[in-house]
Parts: sequence; C-alpha cells; structure tokens
Amino acid sequence: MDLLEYQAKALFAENGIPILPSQQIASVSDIRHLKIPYPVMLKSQVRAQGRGRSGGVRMATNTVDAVAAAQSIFRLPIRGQCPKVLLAEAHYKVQRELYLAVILDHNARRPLLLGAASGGMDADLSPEQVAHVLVEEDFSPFYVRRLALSMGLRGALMRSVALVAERMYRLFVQRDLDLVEINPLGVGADGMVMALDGKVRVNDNALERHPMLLQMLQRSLPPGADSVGATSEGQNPVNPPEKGDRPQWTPMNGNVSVVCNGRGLTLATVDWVMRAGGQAAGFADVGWTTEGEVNDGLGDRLLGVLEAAIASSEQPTVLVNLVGPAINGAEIVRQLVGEFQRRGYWPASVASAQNGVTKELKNQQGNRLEFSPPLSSSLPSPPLSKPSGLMSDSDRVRGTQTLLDSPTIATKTGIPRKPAIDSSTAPLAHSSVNSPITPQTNQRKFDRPSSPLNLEGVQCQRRCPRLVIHCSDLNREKCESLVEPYPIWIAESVESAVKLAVDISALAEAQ
Amino acid sequence: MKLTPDCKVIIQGITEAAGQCHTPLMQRYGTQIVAGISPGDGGTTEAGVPVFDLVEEAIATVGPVDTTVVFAPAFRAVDAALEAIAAGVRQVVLTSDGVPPLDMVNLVRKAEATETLVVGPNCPGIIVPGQLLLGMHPPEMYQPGTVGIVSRSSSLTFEVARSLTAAGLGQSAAVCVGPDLVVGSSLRQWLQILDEDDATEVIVLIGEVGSDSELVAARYISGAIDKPVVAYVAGQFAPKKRGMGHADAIIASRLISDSSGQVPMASIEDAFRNAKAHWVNRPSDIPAAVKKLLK
Repeated sequence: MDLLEYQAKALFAENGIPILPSQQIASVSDIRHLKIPYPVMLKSQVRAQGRGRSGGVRMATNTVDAVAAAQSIFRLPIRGQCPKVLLAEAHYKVQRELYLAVILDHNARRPLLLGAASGGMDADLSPEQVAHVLVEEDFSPFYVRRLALSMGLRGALMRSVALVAERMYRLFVQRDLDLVEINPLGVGADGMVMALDGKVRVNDNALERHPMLLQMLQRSLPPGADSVGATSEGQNPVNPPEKGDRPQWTPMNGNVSVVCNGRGLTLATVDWVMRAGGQAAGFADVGWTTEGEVNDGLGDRLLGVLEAAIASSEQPTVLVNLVGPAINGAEIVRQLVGEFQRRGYWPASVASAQNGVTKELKNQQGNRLEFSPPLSSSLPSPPLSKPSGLMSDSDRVRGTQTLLDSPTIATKTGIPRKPAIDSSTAPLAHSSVNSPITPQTNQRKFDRPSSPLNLEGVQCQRRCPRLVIHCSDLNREKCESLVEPYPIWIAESVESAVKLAVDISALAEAQ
Repeated sequence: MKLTPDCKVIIQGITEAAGQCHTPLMQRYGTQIVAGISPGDGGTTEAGVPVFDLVEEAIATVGPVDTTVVFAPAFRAVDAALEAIAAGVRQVVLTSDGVPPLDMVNLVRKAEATETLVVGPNCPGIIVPGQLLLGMHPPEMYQPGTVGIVSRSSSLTFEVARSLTAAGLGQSAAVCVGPDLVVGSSLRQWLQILDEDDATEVIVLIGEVGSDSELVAARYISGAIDKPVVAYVAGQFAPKKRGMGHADAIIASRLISDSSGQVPMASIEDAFRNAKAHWVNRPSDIPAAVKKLLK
C-alpha cells in the first residue's frame, strides 16, 4: 500500500533525503496562511497514478491564483479519488531530472537498485533505459556508487546521487518497504539534488511492527473505510489491510460468487466455474487455518464476506469450497444456515407452501416467515418443472432435498448444462398438498435419484442467495437435515459443486 | 537432502497453537520428532517430546537434527530459522504466514551460504506419502506412488492430491513452496529435486497467476527437466491487476510482462507448452493427464 506524497517526503526528510520546503493544505482557506514564498506548486495528494497529466499539479504565482488552483484541485477526482489534502511546495528550477528506486526483486530474492539518467513525468523508463544493481550480499555503499556510475553520472553529481540512493536503501530496509521511488530527482543549477516527487510502498506483512507507518496510513484514509471494497484483484489502494479479519472481495461480472480457503484454490475454482460454462460474479479467499485450531475463525471470515458475495449479482449463487485439514464442515454449514435464518432467507416455495408447512416452520423459527412473501404464486415456476406437472408445493421443498440426497447429482458427470426434467423419470412419490414439511421424515422415499436434476429450491425470494457448499471434511448425509428447507446444496466433490453452482445459476437466471 | 522416515525432526514453536495441533499429526504419520523448541518453556514436555529453549541445547541432548519445522509467529519465524541453521540444521520448513519479505532476504542469503534447504514461508511443507510428513498436509488425501507434486498453493495441492489418490495415482512427494513472492526454495528448485528423485515418474506443477515464478519454472523445464510434467496455473480468468509503477514493470520485464507488470496468462501457457509440458485448464484434468503420461 502506498503512502501519500507528503508522507513519503516526511520519511525522506527523516532519513536525510533532500526535499523542498512544503506545507499541507487541508482546505482552501489554508492558502492564506502559506509560509512558502511564491511561486508554489500545489499538488493533489491522491494515490492514483497520472496525477500530473490529469491536472492535479498546478503552479501558482500569487494568492488569487493559488486559491483558484486549490479549489479546482480539491474538486478534481483522479481515477475516482479526490484529495483530502494538497501539498504546497516551493518551486525548484531544475537542470535535469533523474530517476531512482529501490525495490525487491523476488526472483533474485534480493533488493534491486534502479536508476535512470533521465527521469520525470514523460521520461522513457523502459527497462533498457534503466540501470540496475542487485544488492547480493550485505549492503555497503559501493553498491550505490556502482548504480550512479552505470547511470552515466560522474564527479560530484555521481557522489550526491549515490548518497541519496544509499539513504533510500536504508529507509527501504529500516521500514520494511516494498518500494522507495524518487521520480524525478531534480538536479538544480548548483548541482544540488532534490526529491521532487516520491513514492513509498509499505509491506502489508511488516506493517504491524511499524506503528508509525500504520498511523500514517490510518490518518490518510477516508473514515469508515472498509477493506471489503470493490477493488481490483491484489490492489487495495485506499484501505490498509485488516489482518486475519475480513477477506477481500474481488468483483467480476457473472452470477456465481466463489468463496474458498487459499488463494490458489480460489483462483482455480473461478477457472473451474468459467470452464464449466458459468460466469463468476467475483471471489474471495477466506484463508486457511494455519493456527491449527479447528475452523479458527474460518466461519466468521466466511460470513464476513457473504454480504459482498450476495450483493455481487441480482440472482446470486454462492459457491463455498473449502479444502484442508482442521476444517469442521458441519460447523461451517451450521453457521451458514444460522446466517440464512438471521437474514430471513427462504426459498419462495416454502413461503407459498400450505398451512401445515407454515406452522411447522413457525414452530421452528418463531416469526421468521414474515420475511417471506408468497412469491411463488406471482413468480413463474422454473422452466424445468413445467413439463412434469407432478409436483405439489411441498414436493418443491423436497425438491431441494432430492438434489441433496441424490448421489448421482453430485458425482455424475455429464449433467446437461440446462437440465430438463424428463416427465417419465420425474420423482413420482408425492405427498398430499396439505402435508406439513417434516424434515427427516420419510425423506429417503422421495429421494430416489430418478430425475436428472431437480432444482426447485432455486426459486427464491429476491436477493436470496443459493448456496452450494463443498468441504473436504463434511458428511453430507449428516448435514442434510441442517440445510432444509434453505436453498443450500451440499456437494461431495469440488467438481460436482462447480457443476451444481453453474446449473443453479443458469436456472436462477432463467427465472 | 534427507526426506526418509529416519529423518530427525525438531519443532520450533511447538507450544504455539499450530505446533500443538500439528506435532501429534506428524508423529502419528511416523515422523520422528526428537525435540521441541519454545523459548521460556525449556524443561517441559509437549506431545511426548522434550522442549528446549534453544536449538543448540536440543541438539546437545538429543543428537544431530536433519530438519526443523517452524511454527513460530511471523515476525519470529526467520529468527527461528537462523537459529536452527546456526546450530547445523540444513532443512527448514517455514509454515508461518505473514513473514516480511526483507526477513526472507536475510534468510535466503544465509541459506545459500550454508547450502540449507528452506521451504516456505506460509506453506504446509512437504509430505512423502507413507514415509514422512513435515508440515500440515492432510495425510488422508495422499497415498504412496510415483507422482511428484510441486506447488505454490496449499489447499489446491490437497485437492489435486485427493483427486490423484481417488484415481489410483499415488504420490512420491508433494511440496508447497508457498504463495509468497519471496520464498526459500522455488518451483524451479523443486522441479530439479523431483527430476532427480528415483521414486518420481511424473511431475505435477501447480502455480498461481500473479508472479513470474511459473515462467521461470517453465523455462527451466524446457532446458533441464527430462521427466514428463503436467502444469496447471490457477487464475486463468481472474481480473488482471491494474497498471503498476515503473519499478514493478522493470522487475517484471526482466522476464516478460505486459504494461501492467504482470506476466500474462497466455505467456505462461505458451512457455509451458513450448517446454513440452502437458498444460491443463482445470485441476480436475490433472489425473487423466498423468495417467496418459505414465503409460
């Protein structure tokens, strides 16, 4: 995560890297109290790149100019970010501009010093133009002299640039940084060098042992910033990491939300969904339990990301895939069902079922049914159920169960992508319309896997997610009673879970 | 390298939650754990093994040690590893998550100088099915055989192992080097180890998009690996990272990258195909690919 320019420069100053006199401007009225003589540069303090080109940096020669410039910069969003603070900085006449950086080369597993003889906003910093020196062994200043010389510098300038690079390196190591960059390093008429712009990227893992950096980041963040933001993968430009807390949601454009433990498994499950003809709505990695305790907060992290997973599409299907040791799948299912209860999610077919059903559910859940308007009477039945014409409402509820109980569904390969019920093989056992739902009662009778795929439970309240769970340590049979009557399916393998999620999402979409 | 049942193992951080959880699991698998290390807990016993304050004290009492498995918290993990190396231990498995990369740079410098094998950080370690468990692999998903697995992922490796086992394809060894950008040993190094391992006939490589270590591995396969390789890299449909700064792009361009500084999936796939590795599009295709190559 990047610091803002003024914060980076505070670190530079602390480490003896020369910077210009400057002042923070928190509001336009601060301009009146400028102590820096005109002309001044006013610079938008945002993390986005391309600040100069977007008009986020302006020179002002007097107070009237400066007020106008400050007003417009405060209102100018750069890649969606508006500054909370401007930096007013003295103007510096440069003869030339250089480029310097320290970064970690993760293949060589050593810090890498970078330098170019021409820097600045429009400089060509293609790899051929940039000198680099790998710090193989323990650091010593000869590494930075080697860099300055290979940048083509000589004499006093070589020595002063080498000194800046040395101090950048020490800052890099001392504060556990991912990147220290000065672009441009201005060279004045007198040969003085000056860090005109600077970038410091802190390392998320090390942040805890640098409370000062943590404070800086927190101070510069918008209030109420939340790490579950709609940011692109691996990028979290506005929010500091909340370690072990809420996993980050990465949005995509489909309708299957993928939640897994472990980054590789998460990315692979997204691949799987797409290759199976589905469209991922986004994904989150809830981490895996390195602390060794069973579940170890896994369920909480799962629930923490559920909101984003559900909100990511109109008809969300959430695919939860957990693989590994020390996972108690039944407990995870219990927590998810509890969350469904708390949120008042029901399949529409339950809401519209007969009195007996209602009673039964009320007995179990108190007044939860108030959340469940009788939707199914107004909603069309899912296309697949129409040909059968055999199902009563209460059978529909059991339809969910049919799916759960049918081993062929979860493990059989070659399920048609948009399955249709063949009326000749549709489940024939159906109870009277008025019979109550009695979980676990005679279930098996209804559950002969004669139908290719019965997804009645797919028909849900608006915004009610369908949930497909695969967990490496989960006894499906034991959990079936837990998930009734919720639109929750339990799969016995990742493959079947993916297939289910893709099929369910297609059906949900068709409704 | 010594990855046989007679390997003598210590657990650093044996009194940490993860240490307490996984030590008995390793013992149950037959791993010979001869001592635990936990500063301040010297003289006590954990999971039936004596606990010492320092690695060198343990070695003085129980004799030479081949491997340490480190469960110390992230900021103390590299210190623990350096302590073990100083005491003469030459195989280190780092399970800790969140180790700062510059700590790893120090460790790697030391490991290279002493020819120490470091696996991790942030990884479940090594399993040699039927023989040895060094870390946190779930043993029930593995069975002995001839497929060597090298991976950057944890849970995805378990899933692949489980699917291989279900298809009757046992494994010679599985190692997760960890997903971090700076790791003690790379995919490339483990390809070399598995290539030289007599028990391994086919190698399965599992990568993740977002680093260039897969590309390095692919180039290494084309030049130096004789055994057949099945490769899967997760993240084929993940949204790309946004543009990075100059410095990142320069780092990435030392191999190959687009303007974002990220190695594009197509280049990774091309590199593996050019290396004559068997590329698969999803993990579930791995067992069939392995079967074909074993014929």
